[in-house]
Amino acid sequence: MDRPRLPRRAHAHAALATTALTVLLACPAHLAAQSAAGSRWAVDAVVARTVQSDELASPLRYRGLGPGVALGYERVGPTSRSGLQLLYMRPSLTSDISRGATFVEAGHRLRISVPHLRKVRERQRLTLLLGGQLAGDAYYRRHDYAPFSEHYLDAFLLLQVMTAVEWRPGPDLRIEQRLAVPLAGVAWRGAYTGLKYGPSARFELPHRLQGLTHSVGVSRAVGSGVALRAAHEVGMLRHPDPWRLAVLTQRLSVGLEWRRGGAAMGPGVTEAGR
Amino acid sequence: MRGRGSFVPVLVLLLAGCDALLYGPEPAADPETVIDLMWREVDLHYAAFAEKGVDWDVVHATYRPRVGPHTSAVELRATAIAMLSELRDGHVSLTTPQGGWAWDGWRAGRPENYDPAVVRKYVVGGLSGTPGGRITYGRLNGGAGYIHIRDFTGAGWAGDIDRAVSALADVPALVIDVRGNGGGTDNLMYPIAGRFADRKRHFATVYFRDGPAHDDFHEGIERFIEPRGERRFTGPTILLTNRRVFSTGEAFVSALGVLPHVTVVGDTTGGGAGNPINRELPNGWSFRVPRSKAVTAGGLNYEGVGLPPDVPVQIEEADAAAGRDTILERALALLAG
Repeated sequence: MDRPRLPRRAHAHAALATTALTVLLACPAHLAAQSAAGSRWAVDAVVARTVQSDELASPLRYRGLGPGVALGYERVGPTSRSGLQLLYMRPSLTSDISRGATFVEAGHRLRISVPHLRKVRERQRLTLLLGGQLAGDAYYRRHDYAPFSEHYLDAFLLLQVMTAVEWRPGPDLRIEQRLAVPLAGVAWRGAYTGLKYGPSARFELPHRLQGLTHSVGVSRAVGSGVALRAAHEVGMLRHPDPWRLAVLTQRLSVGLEWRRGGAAMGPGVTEAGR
Repeated sequence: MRGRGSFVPVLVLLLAGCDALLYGPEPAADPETVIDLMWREVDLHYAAFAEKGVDWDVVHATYRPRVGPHTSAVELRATAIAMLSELRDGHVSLTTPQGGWAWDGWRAGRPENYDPAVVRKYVVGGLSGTPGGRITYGRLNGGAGYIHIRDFTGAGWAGDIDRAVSALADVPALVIDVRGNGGGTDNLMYPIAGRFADRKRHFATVYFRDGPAHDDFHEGIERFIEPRGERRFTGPTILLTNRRVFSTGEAFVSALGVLPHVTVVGDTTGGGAGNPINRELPNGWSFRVPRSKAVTAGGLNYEGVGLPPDVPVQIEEADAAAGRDTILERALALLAG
């Protein structure tokens, strides 16, 4: 029995969207350069709350908190931003029937994202950026039943459209909101007892691999080239069929940011930037 | 600073409302929901309705009226077991605080056809064991080697088979005994079976449920036995089976069964080809139900019927009472003859 194939129209949609994103990222920015390039490095301590529904693991919902750590690098150019972000989380989840060591789930989650944004509009203290992001998300979980256990490994590679709005209400303060939604992706699920047709990578369009990431972050300069930062992020990942997996993560993070060069980087970057 | 306020309601909305946006309501833990959910989960995942001739809708109509909002946990458990028993499947089990249950009709009332104490009488110099105790080996009267594999449970010990194969490297023939092997994981079965393979051979095709209809199956996944490990034995081999060989134990039998130098002697195996998945219920119970079925390279779907031996032998009561293992004796006769 063959799996249903993607309709040609869906493939065309994916190709068109990918081409549009590529052109957007490659074309010259509308805005002229205002300052030299700089860079930001960041390290954050993370607390993440995960709510998860994996109908192949359980008809019940699993939720819980877990610690994490995030590392980030961003190169800030006159008209563009690109970077690399690593996020590791250690979720420990329970359900309404969890007791002792049974019906619990613990896992490791690693997310790597490579965003690239270009300025499309800048007015006074507001900057609007548009671009894309390549995000990889690997999620291993051990689900303990009574008295058995099962191991699950899922991985996703998403090509996302991303928008960002940066607002600088004061010389030392920067607030940024980012939203990323997928254009297309590749989903991979490791083999386990109940789903022996993995491991297999599947090309998916948004109607089968749904996900978005929204974050609001605040950073405040506390010294020359150093800023305190805090952020809230909501990430949703949903693969309705055949995996029937939905993972919602809310992440609170606080950390430090180190900045080098570039007046376009916002507060606390350089004396010129102030 | 007017814009700063716009972030606050967005943040509050995200914190409070995301769960509800993404998920529907969770199932309740009342008896009616529990029994309905269990019935639905079996309906969605069980792979052998056709082989067992079970009309699951009829099962629902028969047992569902026994459960109401005030049904006690004991009554609910009894009804759940009655429903699951209709599947007549040794991979189906239920775990509750009142105790575990597993359907054992696949072996109940069938002769054991195996007594390790009796086997020792046929061994010269006693049996040796691997550190985990899952493999025992020695030399039989007449010079053939003997390896018993107790089960395929646990992880990481497949290499223990090399100890037995190395110790028996000089024997002219081998008896592999899997009687009583109730299965475990395929990850152990493949490397162990590979020690006896002459070349890569297809031995079975596995079909997994992948849709809501009872005949929704993913395309078959072919399974192969192939040479594994540096030390292998590919001389004349007799494989001993009984009714208590089940699940992965049967996969081992079907794998070795395609090898031209292997003859299967003994009783038909238990007949459990499925890979069971674990399922949870909102009252804290859990159950297992197999989501696949297997067809041998010879075209036999052995779910519920078992793998027949090449040479069927039963140990008669009188022989058992006399301390004779006539299955092992037939194996030795075949090797001698």
